[in-house]
Amino acid sequence: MGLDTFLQAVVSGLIEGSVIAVGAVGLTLSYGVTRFINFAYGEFLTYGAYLTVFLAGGLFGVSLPLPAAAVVATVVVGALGVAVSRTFFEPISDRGALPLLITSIGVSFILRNLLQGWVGVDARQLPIPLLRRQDYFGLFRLTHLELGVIAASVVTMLTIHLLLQRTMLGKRMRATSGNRSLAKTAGIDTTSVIRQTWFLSAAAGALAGVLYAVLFSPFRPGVGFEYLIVIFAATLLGGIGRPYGAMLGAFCIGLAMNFGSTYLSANYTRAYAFLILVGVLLLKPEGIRGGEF
Amino acid sequence: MSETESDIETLRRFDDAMFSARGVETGYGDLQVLYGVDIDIQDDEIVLVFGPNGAGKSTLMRALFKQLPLWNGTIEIGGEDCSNLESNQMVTHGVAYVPQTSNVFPNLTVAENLDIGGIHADDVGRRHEMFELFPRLAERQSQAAATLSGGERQMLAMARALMPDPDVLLIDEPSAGLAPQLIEQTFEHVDQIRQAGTAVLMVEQNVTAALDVTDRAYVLDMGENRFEADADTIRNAQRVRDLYLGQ
Repeated sequence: MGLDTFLQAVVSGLIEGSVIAVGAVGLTLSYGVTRFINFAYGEFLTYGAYLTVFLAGGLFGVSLPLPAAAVVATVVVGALGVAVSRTFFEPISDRGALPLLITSIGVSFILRNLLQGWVGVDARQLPIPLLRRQDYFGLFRLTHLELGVIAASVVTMLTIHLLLQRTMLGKRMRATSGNRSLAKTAGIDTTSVIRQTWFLSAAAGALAGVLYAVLFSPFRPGVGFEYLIVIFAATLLGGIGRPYGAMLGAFCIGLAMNFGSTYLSANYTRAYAFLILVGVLLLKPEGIRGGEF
Repeated sequence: MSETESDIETLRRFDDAMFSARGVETGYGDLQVLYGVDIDIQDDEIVLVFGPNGAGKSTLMRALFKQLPLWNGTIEIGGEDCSNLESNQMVTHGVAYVPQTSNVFPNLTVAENLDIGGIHADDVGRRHEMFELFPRLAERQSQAAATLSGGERQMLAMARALMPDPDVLLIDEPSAGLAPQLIEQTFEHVDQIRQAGTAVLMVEQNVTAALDVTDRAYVLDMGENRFEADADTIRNAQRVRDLYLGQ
């Protein structure tokens, strides 16, 4: 195993890191303003992936091109996120983080089983051709789709960065994250800001689900819930509630998983993420307390 | 008992007051803290509220800003009944509030804190007025609020609240935790804020210093109005001195 293997592991790590980053940013955004870890977040990934399959595969009577299907699915799941928040989380939002967290576990069961009851447990996959990896500079190999995943992730990160730093909505979100009571005092309609954040969070989750499905088809209704542990690891590593930390954490986890698979054993890919998660909780437990963005 | 001292027991009510609260009752859960407090603020007036610990001063501020629900009583602003507003609607009704603690957005820069303060303001020149009042903030614009000193943070908290050019500013303990030379400066700022056309209602423990800039004062005790008078009268009233000023 030489330089070639090493570089390929780096590239694979960056590709998977791109997916994790989109997922981790979405999770951390909702945590930043609501202050509870949403265990139903994985279902947004699942719904994003399945909706894209259905929209692209003609289940609803139309067969959209894959990118268009992904965009529609992302927006629909964003709206689903707002609906979930209004139905389950807003009514108990003043009861503290623990009831919300437990409710979110219940919501994840509801969403997962609804989907499973509807589509069954059979594995599905996106209608994408099997592509050969192309050689780049004689150093590493990538498919066009993998390049597309990286590009989609980079564009998402940049968009979220610009949204948070340059737009008034972003500043309202950051103000609400930093000091919700003072945000209200300053005249911000925090309820509305929180709903907008839920939209963004769920939409980012859905996009992460689509990107995951592009790379790792086929998948089943448990896909999002199972991948949640990887996203948690990235989110906590970067300090939950901090989008830039989540992005950085995601690439670390992606690299760790792929180095582990390459040099140790490919049977434990998720376990490497889990080990980092445990390590963060042991060595840097303040990661779970979180910050603001 | 001199005539001056009997006067302070009578709560004057100003029917033309710009901001007026009547019979305010509120509390936390089952615990009632305020038992019917009246407060008036007239145009361009600095009004001080003081009293012993546990009198309900901070609770009063939160209730007046609708951060706590009114169990009873009314709040009128410019003759309009505002008793049922949410706290995030107070800014558009000309009322701003600076809490005692956690009164800036620590994760936002100074400039961004002012952006948030200005979301309901149309005056772009307002920011420059704030920098004239608090030149220190102009130098710190791109710095995160979390990194400011206590005095600078208090200035930013006031500037943020003043961005929409409110008719009345509620400030809770502006001098708390500040060094002695900064305390004096804080009250100078309060005076300048009034001169610029914003009335001020402040809660302050540092009563003697605060009274120097104050027009009128309320003494609150056990969640009720105890005394009310002009600043001079309050300062010289023997019973106020005995009970609350420790002199």
